[in-house]
Amino acid sequence: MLLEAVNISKKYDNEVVLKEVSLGIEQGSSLVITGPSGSGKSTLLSILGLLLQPTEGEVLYNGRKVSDLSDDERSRLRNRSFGFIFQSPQLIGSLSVLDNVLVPARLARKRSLEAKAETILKDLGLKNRLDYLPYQLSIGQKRRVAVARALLLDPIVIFADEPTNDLDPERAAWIGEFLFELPRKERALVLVTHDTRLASKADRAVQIIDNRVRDLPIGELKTG
Amino acid sequence: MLQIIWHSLTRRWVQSLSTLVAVAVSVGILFALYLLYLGVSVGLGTGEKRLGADLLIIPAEAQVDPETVLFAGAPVNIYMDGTLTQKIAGISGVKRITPQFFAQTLNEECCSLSNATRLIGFDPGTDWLVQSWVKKLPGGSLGPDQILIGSGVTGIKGKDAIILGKTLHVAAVLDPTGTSLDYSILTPIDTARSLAKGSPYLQLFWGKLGDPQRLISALLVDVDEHVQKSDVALSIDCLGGLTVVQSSDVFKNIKDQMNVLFLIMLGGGLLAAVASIFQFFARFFSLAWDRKGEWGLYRALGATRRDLKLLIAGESLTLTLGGAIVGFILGYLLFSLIFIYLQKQKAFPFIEPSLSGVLVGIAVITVFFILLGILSAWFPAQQSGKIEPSSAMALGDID
Repeated sequence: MLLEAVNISKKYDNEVVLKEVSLGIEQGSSLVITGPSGSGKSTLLSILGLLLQPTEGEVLYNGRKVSDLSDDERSRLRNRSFGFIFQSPQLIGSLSVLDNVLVPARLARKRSLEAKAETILKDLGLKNRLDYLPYQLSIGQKRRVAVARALLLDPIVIFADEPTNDLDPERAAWIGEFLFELPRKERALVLVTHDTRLASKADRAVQIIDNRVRDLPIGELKTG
Repeated sequence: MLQIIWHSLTRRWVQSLSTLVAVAVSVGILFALYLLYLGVSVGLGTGEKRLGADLLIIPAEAQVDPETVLFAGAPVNIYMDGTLTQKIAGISGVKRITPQFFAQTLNEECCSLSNATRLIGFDPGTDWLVQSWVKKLPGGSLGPDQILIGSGVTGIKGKDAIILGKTLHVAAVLDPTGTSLDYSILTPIDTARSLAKGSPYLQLFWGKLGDPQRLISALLVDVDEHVQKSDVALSIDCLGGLTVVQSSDVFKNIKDQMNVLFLIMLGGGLLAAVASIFQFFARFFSLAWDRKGEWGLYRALGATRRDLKLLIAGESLTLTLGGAIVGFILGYLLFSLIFIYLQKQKAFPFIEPSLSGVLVGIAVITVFFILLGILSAWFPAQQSGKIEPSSAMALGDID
């Protein structure tokens, strides 16, 4: 198992958000997390992505317990092995498209990744937008820049939180297609979405109900 | 990381520039003040030491300040009877006495001095003021056709100078003294008198006062150690027709004037520095609120808490060091402008600061502003440590 949550619970003050959640994802596969608003989908994604510490339980990465690592070690693991696509694109307004994509490389003190960043942006149809500032882009273009940023350092696991939010159906389908291509390239994809059509493309889907996860049959999603 | 720091500063270029300029202005003012203070302090100290005489005696009717005689190089045509030397030498408490004779060069445009410069004739037999330089000359004496020139004398190129129609040879250039010697030409007293006697421009004086061979311009007196200088000054004053100046009083007056002037300037400089310190702190305090979104994103993308602190400290130090470098250049330019003005005035002692003195000033001011930068970065750095990477999940767009 590439990434595994074992008996994860999370409380905010006295409010239980997740209770004894266990699930895992293999390399080269995709996992979709669905559920009603406020059910804890983003919290689970954050815990799996080492952005948030569980109250109880542990996260294993390649069989190694990583939820107890020091803050610095978890930061380095996020930088080296994980890619994040947040609910909003979260681009830095005063940086160009290219510089936004290069932020993870600069945090990793990696140079000479400009050419790679340009190639990814070209693949995402943003070849002529490298010097644009975020305010000059459409929401769909911003999303693609965020995707490029997540892919720059060749992460093993990609975490995407509602990546098709606010997009028209055509753009949403395009992003969805692109993301579900990634597991075929030896990456794993963990995706939070309300979009059942998007969820139906996953290898595995889970739903959070009453702070716990339950598997959703993919076929059910396709018909539903 | 350096690229992130650079981007962070340049994309808020108005804020960054204003902070940098504020630091530069403060550093510039403080640095210029430091250089001026250093120049005057060294000038006063050296002048007091090099003047080497307790009393300066000039004619009472002379319409010049003792400061002008002591520190300015402009020509001073004042004369009195040369027999006063023996009279004053006989006064109780006078340890030694030496006369000086003042003349001046002309405003010649070719091959000589471009501006009128004071020519001081000294008595090689009794002088103790310039003897330290004279002794270093080949033969240990200054010939009748030789001159010594002050370190601040301009216009003489090469080894010869035409002064009042006569070619004289430059024997040596004096070290800076912070006194009128720096802007004067020195020659044996007989040579000075001979040149002055032949000058058509000074005939008015000789017609009125007689043969310059019998005249002197000033007397420098050293007083016995066990005698009060003021008592000897009073005894000389009683002879009548003389102004007796205690050189220590002149230096003290100048010191007092300079201290007042520097206090006023320092007040202005400190106000500018305090204003820039406030601006600096305000800028970095506001970071803690303005940039939570950006820092949260960096944390999510893999920045450690230490990375964020380095980022903030790096921005702060870049601004302080950048501002300091610009400030040192500005300060030196400001100092140079004031220095040019002071050179024209030549009314008080000033010696250009040594390289080591300048470097000490640069080091102290730099350390001060680096500490300021570290202090101002401390609060936002502490705040950044509290930002959780998960905060990025809930963020909107980042400015």
